[in-house]
Amino acid sequence: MSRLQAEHLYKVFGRRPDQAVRKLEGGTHRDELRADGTTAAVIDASFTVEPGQIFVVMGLSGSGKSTLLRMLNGLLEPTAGRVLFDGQDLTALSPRDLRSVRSNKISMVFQHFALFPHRSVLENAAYGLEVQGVPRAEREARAAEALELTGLAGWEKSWPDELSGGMQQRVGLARALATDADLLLMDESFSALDPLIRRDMQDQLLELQKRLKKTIVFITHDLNEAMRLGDRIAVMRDGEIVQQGTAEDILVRPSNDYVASFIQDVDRSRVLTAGSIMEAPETGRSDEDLLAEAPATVTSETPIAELFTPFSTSGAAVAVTGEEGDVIGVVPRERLLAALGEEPQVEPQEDPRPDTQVPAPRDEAKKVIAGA
Amino acid sequence: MPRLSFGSWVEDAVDWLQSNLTWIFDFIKTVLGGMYDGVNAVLGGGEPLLMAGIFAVIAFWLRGVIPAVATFVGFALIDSLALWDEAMATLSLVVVAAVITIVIAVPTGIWAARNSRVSSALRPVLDVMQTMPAFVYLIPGVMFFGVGVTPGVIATIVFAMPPGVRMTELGIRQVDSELVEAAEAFGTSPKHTLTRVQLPLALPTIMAGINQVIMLALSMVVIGGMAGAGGLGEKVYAAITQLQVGLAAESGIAVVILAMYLDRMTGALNERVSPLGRRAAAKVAAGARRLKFTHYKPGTAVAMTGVVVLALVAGGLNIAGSSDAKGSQADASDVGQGQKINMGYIPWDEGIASTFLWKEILEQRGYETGITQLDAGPLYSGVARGDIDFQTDSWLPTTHKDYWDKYSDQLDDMGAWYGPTSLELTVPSYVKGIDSLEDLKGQGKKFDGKIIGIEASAGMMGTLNKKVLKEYGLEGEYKVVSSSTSSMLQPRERDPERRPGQGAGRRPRLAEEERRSRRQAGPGAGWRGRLAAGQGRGQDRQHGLLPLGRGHRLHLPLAEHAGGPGIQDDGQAARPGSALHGSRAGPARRPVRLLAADDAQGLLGPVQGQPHRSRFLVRPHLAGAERPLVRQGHRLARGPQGPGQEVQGQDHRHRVERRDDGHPQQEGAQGVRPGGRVQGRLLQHLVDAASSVRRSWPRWRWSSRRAAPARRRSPPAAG
Repeated sequence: MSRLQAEHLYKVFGRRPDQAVRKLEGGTHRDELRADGTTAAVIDASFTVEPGQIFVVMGLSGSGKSTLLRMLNGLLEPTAGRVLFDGQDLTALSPRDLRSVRSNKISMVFQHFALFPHRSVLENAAYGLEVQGVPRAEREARAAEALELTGLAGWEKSWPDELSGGMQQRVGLARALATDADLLLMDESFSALDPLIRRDMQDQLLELQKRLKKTIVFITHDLNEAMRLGDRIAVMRDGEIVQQGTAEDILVRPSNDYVASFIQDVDRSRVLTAGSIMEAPETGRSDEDLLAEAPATVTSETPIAELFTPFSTSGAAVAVTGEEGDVIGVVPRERLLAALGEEPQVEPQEDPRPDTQVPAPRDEAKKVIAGA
Repeated sequence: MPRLSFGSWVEDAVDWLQSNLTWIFDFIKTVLGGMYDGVNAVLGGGEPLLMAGIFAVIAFWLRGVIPAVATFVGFALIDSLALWDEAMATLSLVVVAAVITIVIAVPTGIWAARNSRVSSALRPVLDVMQTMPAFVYLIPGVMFFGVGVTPGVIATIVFAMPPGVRMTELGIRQVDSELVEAAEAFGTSPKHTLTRVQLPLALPTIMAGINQVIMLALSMVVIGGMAGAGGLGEKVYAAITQLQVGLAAESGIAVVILAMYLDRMTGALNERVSPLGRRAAAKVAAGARRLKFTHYKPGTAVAMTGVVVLALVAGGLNIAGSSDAKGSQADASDVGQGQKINMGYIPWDEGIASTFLWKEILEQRGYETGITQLDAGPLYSGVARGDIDFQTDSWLPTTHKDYWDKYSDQLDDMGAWYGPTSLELTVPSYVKGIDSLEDLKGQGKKFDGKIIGIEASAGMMGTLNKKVLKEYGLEGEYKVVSSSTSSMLQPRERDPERRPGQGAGRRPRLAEEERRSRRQAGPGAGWRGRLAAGQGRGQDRQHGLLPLGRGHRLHLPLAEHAGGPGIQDDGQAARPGSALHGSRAGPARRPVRLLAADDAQGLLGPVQGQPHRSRFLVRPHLAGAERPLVRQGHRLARGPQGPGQEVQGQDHRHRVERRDDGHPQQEGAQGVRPGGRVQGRLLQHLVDAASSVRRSWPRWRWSSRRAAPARRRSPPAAG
């Protein structure tokens, strides 16, 4: 059973939201609604998140991704649609039950950390447990544990304003982990950090995830981050989910011009894997032959960025092996270069609708990559 | 546009409230008065220097060594200005008003922060509270709650509330919404979001609001003083209306010391109560390099111990001291047996003089006295309500006509003690060629076209405006500018006599003058008999009658023969107010020339056969048996001039102890001052007054005849 399921979520701000939802369902565009002073922030969003998965929602600012996230834990009530968490419909809960779910099962990490400046690091990390009503000694022990997990042991007595941004976000993460919630909602959690720290945090999150196997919904506007972290990625634009799939799905098969333009500056060498570009080995050659000739042996999950060094010393194809060590394919040098050169099929064009303000994705992506 | 009768609706509402909801006002008055009395008993009860020590310990706790020393010096200074009791009364008023304000303002602010509708509904209300001139609700406050602390506290609460509400709302609204969201995301209930996140983070702003509340409360004490709330405010009000600059400055300094103390302490309180404040303070302390000890602050427990120890010592001394005081009071002259008599006066010289004379007389007879300086409106309303037992300076039939008309049902006119008087215009004597009202015509330029009047509340101002100017053809040329009796006289005092003619302030001034001798003859025919027939009895022209129990009346001679008190133009007038307060004695000579219309009847208040006179108003029960000033059967046999004069009872004798032992009693013993600072000067003055009285009234006497048929609008309460 999936852990989290969103079914046709709508969020409309402004007057007569229900009517607006009916119009949207009937095919009216959100720009026509805006003339009446209603804003459709999220339109017909549906997805499922499996246990232990990192589900990334990616989109530029104003695309509705934060609104979507806040509907998942009931901070915002959907105008229409349902959120099922472990089969329980969150939208049908009373405020008190909803608070109880939030306090025990869902926790959240914020973009600007949202640490309480009047509480020490330890008290911040213990906040969720305090809300649950855990006695002081136990909650402080568990909070200290969570801080250790995020690499902040020894900082318990410090105050948030004494920590660097990265450390503050580790406190935020520790606060979210301390409650032992199954679902972690992360709202652009690493966007406010320096590129190097951000990378560190991403690594740490992946590391933690291997051990803790939480279910994570991660919001970001950074495609590279999405590609790095996401088991599945949903790309949002103007309140709608325009494509869902794995990183490679999106990179290799962008569903429309928008996604294509979005991904054009992505460092493909880090997203594409050997498995996705490999060719079948020449017929008649044995695995031993291929392995002996190959400058390196990789798995199908290896990013192609790691193939450059072997190719610098040899012209032979790199062997891709399966789980049993058998050769499942090869990547010749030409294929690698061709894969890198495969720009998205559609050139980015001027948006035909003058009143939608989509910042040029090229710039956004460049900045992120330069940083990363 | 149709004239909206908004004002009369308000008046109707006020009348209705007064007659139907008395119990609410009485309840509020009881609660507020009780709170004030309790706080004042604590603050004012201790030995001043010990109390200053307690304040200093609090300053030490909150701010450190140097502020503590400054606090002690400041409060010691207040004590040495002889303003300690007043300062503590003011502090009590501020504390009571601030506590009530905060108790109301903070929850209201929280409510407004959580509910935009409440916020927008509150905004105009707060605007009204903040900008409506305080007098507008102060005077109804006096009507509802009477003269005293309550209207002052209420006016203060109304005025000080808005910043408390606004800053609370602002503080909560400006808490980072992401933090509130974070709290909600972790399942915090709204109540806990408030207490765990919003309030702690808003606390610095709320504390700034509380600081403003307290400062505004302090700034209202002077206005509270006008409604009869005691303390520094009353002192300042009395001083400025009597132009006693020195006393005003002293009281002002005391207010400033209180203000600075309260400001710094509430400012620093933030560092103790809010975690954010503690963090900031710890940083500052860590950053200090030199003079680290000045940043040392004792812990809360240490400070509490200090306060408690000092308070216990103060309390102990207080108990010891009060038992001493009681022992010395038992006295044969204790006719009043500590009953309290409240007197009120308008800051007019003859009113001040007679009131303080009465104070002395009553205190000698064992009464406790309370004296409040008030504007005419609150004064009449206070007497009518019974907050004030009597006032001596009621000018009828003209000047205080409006008040008399409104309150005569609740007042007893005990007769005139001084008269006939007249209302006149005066010019400085160095102005040549102007000897009567008619001479003023065409001279408007010389006087800037202004006639400086007295208080706008005085009826004579209207008469002057409506009638006199017209009658004498001065309309258009002169404007009557309202002022106050003392400030009207002030520029004239400033004028150097040696610069006649074109000197500054050459204006005709309106004065209430009593001296017939100085009056200039003038064609006043147009004035005489214009006003309605007189109402007073008038048979006792020279002295007022205060009933002292059944059938007894004390004649108070205070006529012009008394020579001293309250005669504005004779240059020698002593001012009991100033003598009492220890500042300079009698004012400088004020040479004036009176421009009177008629030498027999006066100018503005003439009634045929019934001259204007200063009257003595009492609240009804004093006229009856409910609260006699002396017990029946006591007679004062001789004048009060000598030490140890006798009071003869019908069946026993009392010796009257006087406090001017050793003071020379001969007539004309001017300039000799007895030792006591305050009482001495007062007694000097009293004796001066009394000795001139003796020329025409050889003795005080109790009249044992039945009370003359006093014209009473309401029957006496009993007996």
